[in-house]
Amino acid sequence: LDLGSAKSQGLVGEQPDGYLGVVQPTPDAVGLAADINAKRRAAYEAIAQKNGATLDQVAALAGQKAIEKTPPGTYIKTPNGQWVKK
Amino acid sequence: MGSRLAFVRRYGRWLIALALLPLLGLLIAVVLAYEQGIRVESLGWHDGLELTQWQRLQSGCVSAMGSRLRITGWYPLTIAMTDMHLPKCPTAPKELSPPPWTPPFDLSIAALTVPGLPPIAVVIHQREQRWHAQARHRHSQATAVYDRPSGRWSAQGQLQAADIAPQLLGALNVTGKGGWLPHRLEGALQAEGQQLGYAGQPQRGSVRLEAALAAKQWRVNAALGAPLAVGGGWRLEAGHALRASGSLDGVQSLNLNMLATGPQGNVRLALNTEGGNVARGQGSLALAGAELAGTVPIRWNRQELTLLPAAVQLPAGLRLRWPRPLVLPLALAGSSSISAELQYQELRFDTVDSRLSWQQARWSWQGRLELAGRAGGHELTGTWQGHIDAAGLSGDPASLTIKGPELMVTLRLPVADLHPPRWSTQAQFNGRYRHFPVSGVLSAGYAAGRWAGVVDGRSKLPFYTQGGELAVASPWYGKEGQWFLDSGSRITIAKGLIATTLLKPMSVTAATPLRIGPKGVFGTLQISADGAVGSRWILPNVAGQLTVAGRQGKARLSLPAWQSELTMTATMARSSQRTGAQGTVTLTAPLSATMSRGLGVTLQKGMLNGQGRWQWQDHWRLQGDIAVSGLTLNWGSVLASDGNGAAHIELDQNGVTLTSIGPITLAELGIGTQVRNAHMTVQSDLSTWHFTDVYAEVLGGIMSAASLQWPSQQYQTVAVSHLDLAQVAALQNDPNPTVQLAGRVGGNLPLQLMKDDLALRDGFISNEGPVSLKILPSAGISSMGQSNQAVQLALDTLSNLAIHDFHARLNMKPDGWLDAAVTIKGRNPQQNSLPVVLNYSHRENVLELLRSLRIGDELARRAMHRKPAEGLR
Amino acid sequence: CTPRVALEAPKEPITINLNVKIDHEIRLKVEKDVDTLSQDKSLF
Repeated sequence: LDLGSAKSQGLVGEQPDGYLGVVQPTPDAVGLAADINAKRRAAYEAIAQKNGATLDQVAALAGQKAIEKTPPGTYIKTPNGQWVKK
Repeated sequence: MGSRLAFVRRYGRWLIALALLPLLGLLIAVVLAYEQGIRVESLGWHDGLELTQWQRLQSGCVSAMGSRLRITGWYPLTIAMTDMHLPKCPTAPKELSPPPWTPPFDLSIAALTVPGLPPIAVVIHQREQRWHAQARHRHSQATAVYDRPSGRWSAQGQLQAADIAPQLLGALNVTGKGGWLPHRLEGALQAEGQQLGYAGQPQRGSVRLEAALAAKQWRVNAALGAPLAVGGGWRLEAGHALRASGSLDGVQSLNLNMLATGPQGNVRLALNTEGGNVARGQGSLALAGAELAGTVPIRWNRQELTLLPAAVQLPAGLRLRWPRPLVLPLALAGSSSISAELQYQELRFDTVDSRLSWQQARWSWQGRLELAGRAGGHELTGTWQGHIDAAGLSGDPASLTIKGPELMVTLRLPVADLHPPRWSTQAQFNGRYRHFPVSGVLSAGYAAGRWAGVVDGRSKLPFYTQGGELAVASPWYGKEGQWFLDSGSRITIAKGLIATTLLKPMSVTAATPLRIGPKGVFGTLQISADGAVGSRWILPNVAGQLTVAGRQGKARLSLPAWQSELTMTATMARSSQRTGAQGTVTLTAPLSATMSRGLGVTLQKGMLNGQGRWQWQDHWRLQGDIAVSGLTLNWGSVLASDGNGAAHIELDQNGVTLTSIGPITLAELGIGTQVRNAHMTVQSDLSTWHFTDVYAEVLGGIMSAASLQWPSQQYQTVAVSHLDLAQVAALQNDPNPTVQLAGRVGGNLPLQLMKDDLALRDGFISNEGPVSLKILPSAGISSMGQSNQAVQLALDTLSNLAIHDFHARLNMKPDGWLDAAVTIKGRNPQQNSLPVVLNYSHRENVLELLRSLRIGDELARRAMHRKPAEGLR
Repeated sequence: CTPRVALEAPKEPITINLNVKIDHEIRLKVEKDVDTLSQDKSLF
């Protein structure tokens, strides 16, 4: 299960906090999210240290950008926590 | 030939008379016989007189009859009969008078039949009035002698049991003697039976019997010679078993009195006739002893035995009761409908249209059993329809339903294998325990002195949204009333999802046999879980040991990947209604980056120790202490190192309260500039934090506050003192700084500490002593000076100032923009201590300044541009 | 009388007003880094 097909199948979606969220829980979807989020966190931490920011600040920024770039038809989480299709 | 003729002529008359003599004798005999009621059907001569059919009438009733009676000798009279029958003749004379005088004779009857007795071969010789009779039937034989002159008789014989009924074994030796005179028949009889038994049954018994006859009344006493073991530790006691008495007409009273004793107590059966009539009687079966009680009234007659309604206490707390009389036909084969109710503690078995039938020793029961009642706090109902005989049970599977506050399960027990010695069954069960569906197969059997079997159960944990199938594979056994799940019993929970958390497989295995009893489970279990995965965190595998002792429990769990260890003890609440528990918990966990996946901070080093007490009563409560030592973490670019502290935690349904024990210390906090040796005490409910005795060293000076609350709208004053202006200036981080400051300042900074940002209002800083300012020549500065005379004058003036009055008003908005209005009064020592007043306003975003100072990447730091927005005025 | 030039401290202090405003261009840098990161197909 790769990220692209997981998104197109509506299993996972982007969240404002910069991390991948599980929309339709399946063992593979949760496993993929855990793996992707761990890698994103490491990347955010590197950027934060490089830019004197905190992890959450960088993650929030990344979340915003990811939601903007999400292709229509895939899921995003609204600020109040609802999953909606873009 | 002639001489014979002469003889005949001379004595002719005598010869004729002599020849006629037998005829005459015969004639007399015939007359006598006729007079005695003997009727003869047909007469013939077949080397002796032969009566093919004869009868004897006595007062109108045939008292004897027979066929082929041949008289083959006259002196002594020799009679041979093929058969003779003595039918019961109601009008026969009651008197049994002794035989009259008769000439000597020999009588042999091939088959004498008397009602109720098998045909007997009888030979009677009578000489000088001494009767000598011999009777034989198959292997049994008896002889009797009657001396008419003295009236004495004696008899002895041997009766083979097999002659009475084929399956009977053993023999009875009988001896007797007495007197037989007119109107007086008396005597005594003894019988001794050895090795009596029944084919196929191992028991062998001995019987002693005495009978006495006097004045037309007879009495019989029969008793077991020695106690007869009947198995199961039970035996029939010797003593007066059977007493009967009666007259020549028949039995007048019958009294059976058997006593059986065994480990559980004793059973006494007493049957006797009612009044004179032998056809009916009553009696009782009395049970007594440690585990037996109760008396069963009995009615019996020739056809049947009736057990009147009664209740009987049996071993192991069983109570048998039958509301309606039980009628058992007294026949070798028969059947009877019986209804009974068996009670065991609070359980009751009822028979429904049940029928007992038997064929000699083979018995069988047919019908329906219904179970109702309570056991172990659970309600039990069950039913079974089928057939039971010595070989065991057969019929449809029994169904049993167990209902309790938490358990509701129905079992289907096939009965095919429910027979000695193994009594095994494979019961299918399904139902629900609390809200878990349970189903599976419970096998059971009896072997090597104990009940044992295997439980193969399946369930599904309801709180798993997907997966989470639970399987139980557990060998069990029962020993001396205690139940055990054998070591190796295993519960496995398959991988599954709870909402968006993936729980990997888990298993709990019994390391020792688990004793299960009313007081709970006792034993040790191994726990192994492969961990869990959340979208933002991960839990590595967990292994541990759980020791359970009834209401007490102790667990030790370790997470090898994190070298962490959790121990927990638990004690269940004493009373069963209020489910609750309490206990202790300890946690030791070296802190590491791998634990920080889900956190905003990344833990680098440190050790976490916690211990506390917990209670659970409808919700969790915890009180404990948690200590962190040697903590180093980074919060993005902010680095905190060597944090230490301990706190007391209180957790309940309203939330958490945290109270530091002694000061929380942090050696160093790199926010762009170093904050050192911070210490404070903390009190928080994780949403509002109260800090007291706050102290930290920053910019060469000290920052302190008596108490601070975060978040808060209030402006709370933080005192700063002894700040080194040189270090403040160094914040600009200018590789070739143009300004050089020296001196210490202090003051009060009213801060608004909000959730995500910080504001300062009317902060006031002033110098704590002499301050000096120098502007260092630099390209930038000198070029500015040449372009503007006034600037050059200012620069010259400010080139070196000895400041005696330095104060600043500081305001910072939550976005970080700081406005500082600094008033400096001093003298320029190089310009003849020219008095100078510098009004300096500084506007900068401090948060971004600090962020820029935290940039770890050297290149990026240098590439950062900074431009002073407005010139000098 | 002879004119005497005395360098004595001028009584009136010189008043200098100086305003400094410092800008930091940090923000852009982070967004640039985040932007390049979000191109990574394996992560976003």
